[in-house]
Amino acid sequence: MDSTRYGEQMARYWLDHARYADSHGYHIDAPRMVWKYREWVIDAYNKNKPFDQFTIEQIAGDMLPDATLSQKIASGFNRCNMSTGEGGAIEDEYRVKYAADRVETVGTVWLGLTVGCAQCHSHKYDPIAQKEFYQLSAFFNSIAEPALDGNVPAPEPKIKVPSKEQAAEEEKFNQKIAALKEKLEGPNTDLDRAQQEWEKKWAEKLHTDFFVASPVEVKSIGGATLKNLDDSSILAEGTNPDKDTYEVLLRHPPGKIGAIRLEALLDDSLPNKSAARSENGNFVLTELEVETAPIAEPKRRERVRFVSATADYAQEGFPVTNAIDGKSDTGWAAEGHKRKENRTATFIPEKPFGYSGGTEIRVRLRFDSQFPKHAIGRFRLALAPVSEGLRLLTPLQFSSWQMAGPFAAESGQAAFETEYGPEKKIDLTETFNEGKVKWVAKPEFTDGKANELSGENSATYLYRTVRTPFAQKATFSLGSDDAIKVWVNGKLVLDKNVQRGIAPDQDKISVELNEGENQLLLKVVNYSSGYAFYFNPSREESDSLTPEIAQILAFSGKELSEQHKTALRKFYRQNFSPGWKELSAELAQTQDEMKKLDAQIPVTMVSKELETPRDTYLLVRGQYDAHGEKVFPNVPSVLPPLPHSDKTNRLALAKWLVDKENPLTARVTVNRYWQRYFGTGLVKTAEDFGSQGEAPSHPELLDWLATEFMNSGWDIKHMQKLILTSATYKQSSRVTPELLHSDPQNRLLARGPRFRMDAEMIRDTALALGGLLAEKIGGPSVKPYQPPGLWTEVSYGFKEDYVPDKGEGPYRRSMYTYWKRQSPPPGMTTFDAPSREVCSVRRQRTNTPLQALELMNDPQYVEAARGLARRMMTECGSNPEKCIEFAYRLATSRKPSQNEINVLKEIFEKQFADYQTNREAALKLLSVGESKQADGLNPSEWAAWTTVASAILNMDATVTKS
Amino acid sequence: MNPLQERSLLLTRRQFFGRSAAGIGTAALASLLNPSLFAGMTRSALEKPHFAPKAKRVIYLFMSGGPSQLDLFDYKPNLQKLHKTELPSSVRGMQRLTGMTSGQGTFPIAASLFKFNQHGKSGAWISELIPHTAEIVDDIAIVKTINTEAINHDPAVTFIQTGAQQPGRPSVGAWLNYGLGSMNSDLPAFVVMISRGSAARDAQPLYSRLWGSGFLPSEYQGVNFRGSGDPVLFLSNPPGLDGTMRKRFIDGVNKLNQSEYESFGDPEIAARISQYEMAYRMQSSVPELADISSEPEHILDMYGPDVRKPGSFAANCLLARRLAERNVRFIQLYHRGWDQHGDLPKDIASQCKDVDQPSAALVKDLKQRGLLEDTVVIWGGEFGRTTYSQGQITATSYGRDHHGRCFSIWMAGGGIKPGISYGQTDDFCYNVAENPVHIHDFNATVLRCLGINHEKLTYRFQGRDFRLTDVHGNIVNEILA
Repeated sequence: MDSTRYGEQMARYWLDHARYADSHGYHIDAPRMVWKYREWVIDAYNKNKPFDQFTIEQIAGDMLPDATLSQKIASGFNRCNMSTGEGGAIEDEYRVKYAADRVETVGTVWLGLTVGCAQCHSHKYDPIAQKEFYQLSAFFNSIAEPALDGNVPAPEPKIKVPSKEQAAEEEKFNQKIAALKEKLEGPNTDLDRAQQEWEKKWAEKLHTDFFVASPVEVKSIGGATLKNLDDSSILAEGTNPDKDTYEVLLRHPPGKIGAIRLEALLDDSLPNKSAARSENGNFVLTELEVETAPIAEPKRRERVRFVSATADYAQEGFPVTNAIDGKSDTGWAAEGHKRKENRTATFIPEKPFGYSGGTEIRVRLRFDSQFPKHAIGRFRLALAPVSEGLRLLTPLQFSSWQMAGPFAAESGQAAFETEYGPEKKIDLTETFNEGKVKWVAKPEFTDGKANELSGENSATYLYRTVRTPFAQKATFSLGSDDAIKVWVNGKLVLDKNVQRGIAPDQDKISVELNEGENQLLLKVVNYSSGYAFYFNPSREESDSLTPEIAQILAFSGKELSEQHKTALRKFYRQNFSPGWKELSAELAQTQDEMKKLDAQIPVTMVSKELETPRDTYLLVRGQYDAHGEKVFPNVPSVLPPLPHSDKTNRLALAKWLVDKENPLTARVTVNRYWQRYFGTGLVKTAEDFGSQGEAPSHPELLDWLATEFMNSGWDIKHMQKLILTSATYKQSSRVTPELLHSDPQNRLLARGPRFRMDAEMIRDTALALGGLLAEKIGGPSVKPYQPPGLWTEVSYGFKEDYVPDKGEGPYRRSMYTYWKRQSPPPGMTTFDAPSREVCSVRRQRTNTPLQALELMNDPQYVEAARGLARRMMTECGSNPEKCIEFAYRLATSRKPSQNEINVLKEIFEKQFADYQTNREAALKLLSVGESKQADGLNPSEWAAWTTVASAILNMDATVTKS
Repeated sequence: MNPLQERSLLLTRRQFFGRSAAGIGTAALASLLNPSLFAGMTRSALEKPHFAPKAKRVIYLFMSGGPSQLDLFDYKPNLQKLHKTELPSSVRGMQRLTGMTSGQGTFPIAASLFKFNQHGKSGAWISELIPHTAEIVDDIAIVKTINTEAINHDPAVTFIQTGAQQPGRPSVGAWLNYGLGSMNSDLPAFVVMISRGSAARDAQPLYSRLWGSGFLPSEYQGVNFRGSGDPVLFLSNPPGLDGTMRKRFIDGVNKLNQSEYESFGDPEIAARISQYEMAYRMQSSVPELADISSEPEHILDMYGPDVRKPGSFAANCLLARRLAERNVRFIQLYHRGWDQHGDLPKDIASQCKDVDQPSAALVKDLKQRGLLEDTVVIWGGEFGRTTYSQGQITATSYGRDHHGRCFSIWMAGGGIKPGISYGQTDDFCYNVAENPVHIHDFNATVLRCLGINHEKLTYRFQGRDFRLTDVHGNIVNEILA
């Protein structure tokens, strides 16, 4: 019991109770990572953790004060139930299943109570009311887990369990990353001062004045009442439809408008005193639409197309650009339920709009999202005339690239010099080389990265249009492999006959763009091997300002929001801080290394309570969606109540289970120990101590063992010793006719126990006899041999493949065998291992021909026999009868009778004769299994002994404990 | 130990005790043990069936994934003119939809692209996708109103196979095995074969619990006959160890076990001896079963070209017939890949090509050998598919989501009335209009064919008498002959 194998042996049984498996169980039965919990169990038994502590940590380890890592790992017990990731599964339905499974597991393992019936109706025989079932399930209904496991190995809640070394390395990485981030993003006096000046410069350049617009007409399509307020804002009242559209009519005097601004304003009359009409105070603006018409001809309406937008705040997933993307299922939102602030958004059109005689402007604000009533409650519009700032802000509109080529020539030089069709004129419908080459759209070519082309000694043309509402200068940054020519509006602006590899920013050209559409033509020539081009536009004097940054600088005014400040700093540092690139690359690399380390750190599922407990309801007839009364955690009234002092939570339940006043836990548990050693418990129905189960065969003994257990301080090792050293246990297990007559099942314990060993013991015994058993303790699950295709044929899409481990994996103790619920290891299930889909406290013990086939023909057993044979040949001299006796004793702890020796000797002699004639057959038999074959043994002899060893492994006496 | 083993071993002991109080010799042992107790691998719980059985065996052709009844069996010509129109929400009612289509804004009706015609004397309407099945309409009963509450695969397939959506209960095959035991002493009583459908790229999974024994003794579970390698796991001897050696080996082991028996007197040892003998017999009987070289050409042709591909559905159907001939009680085939959420017309056609000819051939083959009259053949999946399209309807394509309210299964053979259609669905093939057959009713009826009263074949577990049909199930007399 001092050996660590004790812990493994004890843990093995517990895994059945905990329904431990390495896969989730439902639907595609995705892999699960929770083996650290198994290690915890082994360790707990080896340390002889008292059973009450053992219980509390598994049921509520996470809720203990200052819970240690080990205690949290223990709480993985609750997460061992099956979970689903099936698309379309209904969350409530499965939450109910999980909670029910936990109640049944705890009921079976600690209380010997079959509570399952009470899901649908009050239990007829045992006093568990239906309500009490749900009260029990309420203890387990607040774990912070998703209903669908997402088919990920460790759905939340989970924790990392790094080794000491891993933890130290992680700490190093964290520190390095923090330091780098500080350098990159933290305050820096020089840089910050320079940034301030830079911001000031640009703010001045880009500054744009807005003038609040007074609405002429306002209308809500959804039937709300829109009221004009004195400050030109509009307030919505009255009907509050789920979706709405506001239409505002503005009239603007002669002149062009360069931008439109929308403010969402807080108002006391709105829910939560927010700026929105929704219950929680958040709005989602799905689209902003603007139509203009000359005042003189109001019917001549034109849609305004917006090309950029900025807002002082937008929440994750809801950027303000969603409001101009033309989609009704995306929108701008700004956490109005959390932030009680006014909001401002600015929108820039493709080109300034407005008529010389004055303009009617129709602004439509659409609130079409799936979130009901999420409309802005009070808003104000403002317009900005065209200004220098706006000029700079309006982005260039690039069409996607069109490509014509390659035009092949005798040499790169020739290709560079020859004027092919596109150089003469641009006509996208034109074809070249008798139709073999034509203009093809290339939407996949992107700016700012190398785009690959193909062709040796060839020229390829790339064409796009550039639209701008104002004439202006622009800077184009180019790269090419190899040579390049560039024309803008027919004028050659770059002519470079070089051979080089591609890189960004190899050439920078400054070009003049006209108002409206400009034509840009590239000719890229390849001499040999690599062929690509690079293009990146930037604006004259713009310091490569992106539209977002430019708008922040232009419109934010004095008060910059946090989001904007962060964006500006990041942009400035990125572009102007020296060494930023290197630091950034270093940060990226460090983060990468950290990710790699992280991937190696084992993760395990744990329990963790939600802050607010989930509601639990009595379910009428057990239907997940038929809510009866709401219930709260409590224990069945037939048992002692929960202690008053504790909060009624999982921790209280755990303590209650091992409370001295609880009559069940100790009895149920010692009964299982008895079952383990005698084959049948004192109460045969180990899972059911209720009135429908069997009465104990020796009630006083059971009582005594139970109280002894508690009085010893729940000392598990003590109880094992007690039973194993008892006179009862030490009796001979011989069955005489008298015994068979008076006590056929050995319930009266007139003889010692005799029963077939569990699956794991049979396999482990065989491996140990063969000298193959690997002694490593703990660790992730392993994969011994398995006939091919078992996982594939049942798995989703036939996709899963079972790949047996090389090395020591196939020789580890069976309790480490990878357990896949959908297709459990056949060698185990053949010997009655349960599927681990649900908790099991009592295994069957069958006797089938499939077991015979397994022991005779499964390569693991053949290999084990070979190992045992090797030992027989090398560890016990050369007398065959002595060798037989040696192996027989190892396998059965008994000496064989002469008769038995003779039988085995006969097998040996006949096999040896056959294998001498047929040496090849001997070699074949010896080749089964991955373990290496020892040198120097006569193969015929070895194969013959292997057969003998196999016979010994197949004996009833070997697989039976007596 | 389970009560049944107890009971049968008690009988052994009485005999044992009656003979001699001393030891028993090897020769005497064989004569002492009642051979009929070990006639098969599994002993029956019932002394005899509750009713005179019409059938002794079941062959269940399980179409995993949910084949579309609208494109195969349930002809709705009126839907042609409603094609692409919105399925009225009154038809759907308060149905719970899976998360896959509950987010769909519209539910356009997808009329089947396939033509239906009437066949046989019965005049049953059958889709052009299954012409061979059309040839056997007069032998089968098509039930169009099978229904289930399950909406997703895992719970649905668990439900129809074990009588509950939650795992933990024995499968149909295990119940029958338990109730009636084995008829063949050399082969398992419950055999499973799995084949891969042509449209199986995203095939829904299966689970060993579907042929498992649940809380019944595990000897009643199904044995998976593999398409490649050893048909039964670990059937073949390891390389270098031939049949003669194996016989010698088993004789030796049994002698050792007998010696053990003489010393210890534990009846389990005697049982183990007979298991080894049966294992040895299986080493001949299973390869003999799987060896189709003696089958005449015209029989093989009947099943179609795939019959020569081990592991295909056609090959499995032929094996099913051979298993039936050898009186294997419950034979379950799974053909995976029927979950056509999208691309249905193309994929269902290739699935049908896999199964149509062999399924019909199986029925014909059984019939001509006189086996159909005492074998129940079943063809169907875990649920049907929706009338509305999942995703876009194009000229050549549509998809269908899961639909449990009504779907079609056909049955033939012992106890089943041939040449009928039972149950009517509404015009939209969405709801049952007449004669619903819930899964529990279906299972109850299957059991009845084998002479079992579904309410009386029970097993006590956790203080309760469980049965396949739980507390439900009404036999559908109209489909019984």
